[in-house]
Amino acid sequence: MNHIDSMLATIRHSEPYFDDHGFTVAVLSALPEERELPLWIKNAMMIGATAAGSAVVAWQAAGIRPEALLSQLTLDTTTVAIAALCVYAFSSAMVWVVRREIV
Amino acid sequence: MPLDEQDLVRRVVTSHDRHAFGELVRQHQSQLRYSLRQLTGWNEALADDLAQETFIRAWKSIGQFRGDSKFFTWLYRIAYNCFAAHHRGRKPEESADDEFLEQHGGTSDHSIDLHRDFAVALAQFPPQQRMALHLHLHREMTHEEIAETLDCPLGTVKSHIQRGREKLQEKLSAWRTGDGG
Repeated sequence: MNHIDSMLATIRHSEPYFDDHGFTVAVLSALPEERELPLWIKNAMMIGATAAGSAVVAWQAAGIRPEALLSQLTLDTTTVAIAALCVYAFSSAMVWVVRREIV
Repeated sequence: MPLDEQDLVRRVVTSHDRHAFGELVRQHQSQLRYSLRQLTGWNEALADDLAQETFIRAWKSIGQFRGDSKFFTWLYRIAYNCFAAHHRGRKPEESADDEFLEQHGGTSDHSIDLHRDFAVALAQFPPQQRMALHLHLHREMTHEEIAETLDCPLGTVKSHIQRGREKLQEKLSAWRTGDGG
C-alpha cells in the first residue's frame, strides 16, 4: 500500500459525522409549497392533450359527426392528410416524452 | 431503527410527504455536507448552502427518480450540478484556497486537519475532476458509476482519476513525514 492509499484509508475510516443542528429544519422550511408534477403525469397530460387535439382537428376538418366518423372514412386526400397530421403530432409527443425520460 | 429508504422515497413521490423527505435529509445530510466540504476546499458555509440547494432540487424533481440507482447516487448527481453551477458563476480571482484561508486563518483542529488538507489539495482540480476523485477515493465508487453520475465518458473518468492521484500524491507528500498538519 503506497502513501496515498494509506492516507485515504485513514480518511475514509475517520470521516466525521456532522450533527444536524437545525439543518433538516432549515431545508424543510425552504421547500416550495408546490412540487413539480411527477414526470409520468406530465407525459400522460402531453399525450392525452395531443390525442384529444388530433381528434378535434380530424372531426372539424372532415366536417362529420363523431359517431359517423368511422363509417365515412375513405382514402381520399383529406383523410390521408389528416391521418398523417395526427400520426406526426402523436410521434412528436412520443419523441418529446422519450427525450424527457432520458434527460 | 432508521426507516427504509425505498419506502421513504415512495412516500415522497406518491403523497408529497414532507415528513418522509425530512427523514431522508436527516439520513444523508452528514455525508452530503462532508462531500461538499471536500469539493469546496472545506468552505463550511458554502458547502452547507450547496447541500441545502441540493435537497431542495431533489424535492422538486424526485418524481424523476426511477429507483434504478441508489438514492444517494442520484443525490450526488444533483449536488454535482449545484456545485458546477456555483463554480461557473464564481469570480475568477476567488479560489477555494483563499476562501479556506480566510475562514480558518491560523487556527488548527487536529482531529479534522487531514480531511481539511485533503479538501484544499482537491481544490486545485477543475470541478468535474474534483468530483470524480472524491467519488472514487472517498466514496469508493467504480469508474462506471462515476461516469454515470457525472454524465461523462468512461475514458475521461479514468484519465481524471489516474492523473489526479499522481498530482495528489505530490501535493500531499508533506503528510508522509508528519509535518502536514
